Amino acid sequence: MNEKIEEVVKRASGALRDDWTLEQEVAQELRSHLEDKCSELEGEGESPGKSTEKAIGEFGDPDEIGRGLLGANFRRMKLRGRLKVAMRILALPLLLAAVCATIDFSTLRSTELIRYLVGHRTLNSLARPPRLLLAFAEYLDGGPGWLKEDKLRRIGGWGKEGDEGRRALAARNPGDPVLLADYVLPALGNAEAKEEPEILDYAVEHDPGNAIYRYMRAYSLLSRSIDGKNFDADGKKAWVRDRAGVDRAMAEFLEGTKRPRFRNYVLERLDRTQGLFPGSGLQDRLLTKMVMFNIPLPEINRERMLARALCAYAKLLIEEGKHAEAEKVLDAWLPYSIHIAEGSNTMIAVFVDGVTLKMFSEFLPDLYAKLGKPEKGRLLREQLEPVWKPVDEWRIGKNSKDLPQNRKVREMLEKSGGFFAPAFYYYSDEPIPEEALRIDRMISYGISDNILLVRFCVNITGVIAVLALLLLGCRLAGYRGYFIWMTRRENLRILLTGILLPAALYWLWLHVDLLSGRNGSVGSNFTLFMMQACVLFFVLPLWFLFVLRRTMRQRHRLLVPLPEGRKRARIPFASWLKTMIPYWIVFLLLTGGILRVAANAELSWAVANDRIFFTGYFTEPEDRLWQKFRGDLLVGLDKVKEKLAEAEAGAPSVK
Amino acid sequence: MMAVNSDLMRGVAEPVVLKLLAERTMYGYEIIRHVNERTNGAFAWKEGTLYPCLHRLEEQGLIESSWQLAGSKPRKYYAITRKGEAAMSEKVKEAKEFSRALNLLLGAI
Repeated sequence: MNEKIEEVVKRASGALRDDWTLEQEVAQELRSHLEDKCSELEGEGESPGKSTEKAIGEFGDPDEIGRGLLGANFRRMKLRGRLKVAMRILALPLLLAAVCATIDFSTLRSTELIRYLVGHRTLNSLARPPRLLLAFAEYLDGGPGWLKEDKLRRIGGWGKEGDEGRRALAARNPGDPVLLADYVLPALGNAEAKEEPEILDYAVEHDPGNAIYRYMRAYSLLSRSIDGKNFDADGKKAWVRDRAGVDRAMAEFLEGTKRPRFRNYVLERLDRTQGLFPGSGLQDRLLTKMVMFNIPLPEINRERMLARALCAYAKLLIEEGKHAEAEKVLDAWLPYSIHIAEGSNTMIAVFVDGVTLKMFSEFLPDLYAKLGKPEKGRLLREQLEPVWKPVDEWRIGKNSKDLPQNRKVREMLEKSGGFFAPAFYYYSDEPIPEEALRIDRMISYGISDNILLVRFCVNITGVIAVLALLLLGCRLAGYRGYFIWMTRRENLRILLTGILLPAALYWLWLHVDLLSGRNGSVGSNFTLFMMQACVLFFVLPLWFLFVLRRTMRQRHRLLVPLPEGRKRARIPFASWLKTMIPYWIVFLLLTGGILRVAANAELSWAVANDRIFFTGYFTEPEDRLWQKFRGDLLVGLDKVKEKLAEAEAGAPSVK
Repeated sequence: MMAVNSDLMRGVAEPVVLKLLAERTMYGYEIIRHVNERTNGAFAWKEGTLYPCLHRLEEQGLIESSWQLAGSKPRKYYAITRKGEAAMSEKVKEAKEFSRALNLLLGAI
């Protein structure tokens, strides 16, 4: 390095000292110019000393050159100065924008909904998003705890807070049995035992023909007259605490069996929830489903208990020698069974019907025998078995892990299903269409990708935070560093090769089934899926760091002459940090933003094209199944009724 | 040949630089050498004339620069842009007009 040349260069470029990059650039240009001139003069025979003097002499006044260069670059310097200020002010907002571009809070909330709804093993094995982000996602949805059951009921309008509103609505529309049921049945689930009579009196008064309210009133009376909540159908346990109360309860029960209809209006009430979340996105679809799945059905358990009470009470009457009364109670099994089958609009209700009928066919024949009517009991058992058996066998078969058909379905779901198929297809005896599985996989991968992006965002934000802390440390230690402005071409190179190209290649990898393994379920493809996650978490950022460092080094090498004996440019640590931070923010913004938009476009497409999981009340296959079972139960019970009537007509009456 | 005063040079520097860069990409010292050679030393350009002019033209987007390593030495090369090509003919025309008017004026004296 020629000191005289350096002095001249320094004087000329010093005018631009407010912009370190520009100052170095100008200095390098002038240095290179003077060195070229010296070389030429030396080539003409001048001595090195003379050629330096001559070159400097012909160079002109360095201060004047500096002023000229300052004038020519003033606008650029001003612009860069403003940009620097803007970068300082906007760094944090830009980082927040990058976080918001990378994380889809709606999908994040949906993830929690799915955990709650189906609790899929693979989904659970994916790392949960940090609590802070979840809290923020909750905040966006109107406060913490929104996933709690009571909150969901509130969303669906079935919480205790909604009882009064629904009661007022029912009161304003006294002829509307749906609004009445929409108030009474959820209110029973929310009410204290002592509040129940008032609700049920109101219900019986406004819909006297509906047996369900009589039954609910019978249960309410019964529950206050027995020990504990449960008792055996064979009445072995000493269950009666208040005999008069039990008599009243069972009288009310018998009144119920005389009512012309039994309606819980579940479907009509569910219709209303369809409008609660009209959006077509994943979160709205899931919320609709969640609210439907959470519809309170307090009547189902009560119906089961009343069936037990029927048997136990009849036994009690027989033991007391009240045979005529006992027979009346026993005979009530049929209208009661028909009633509850009529109102079975869910799989769980159908199962309860099956279990109830099975219990009747098990206990009633003995009780009829004790009344001296073993034939009636035998006929009942014979006729009833084909009615409850299909439901029972289906239930037991579905729950049996050892059955080959179940194993086959399970294996298929594990191999190529998504998060929803196992849970949503549970209540179905139809083969799962391949298209439905594909959609399920797409939704599942879309959600998983979003979870990975959350992690990616957290990692990169962590990197930025560490860099910012280190920069702060450097500043406190007195190292200010400088920002290295890249040329347009260098910025383009960082953008293309450091950010866009790797993101595009990554996206392509995920979408070529053969390479990504995404034609199989997330669970069966977990190793490859985790490799993809590792590429997102480590390879993309490391590659970006490599490109950025390389470009910075090259830039620095062109701006600052290498010290004697060194082959690589040495950038001060504070300058590394100062220059890198904005680039990392841009990296997060673009990589995260692009991948999120890509993942969500696919997710939205899959959700919009789903015809299985988000359609129907519960799910389309489940709706079909309970309708089939309910139809079979009603037809079967009708036949039993006929047979019993025929037998009754043929046999002499015993009173 | 007598060297032309550098103050006079400033007015014509821009069309000259654009014209030269339209021929090929050059670095600063190369431009000065070309100008000096082609004018037989009459236009003995100094750095104070050339570099502010180059930076001004770059700022206006008429030329663009790129750094390249010549051996181990970094050099800043300039090339004309499309906008520069479009502006060049106008600037050359202006310079010629100025030269013609100057001739008329000085010839009349």
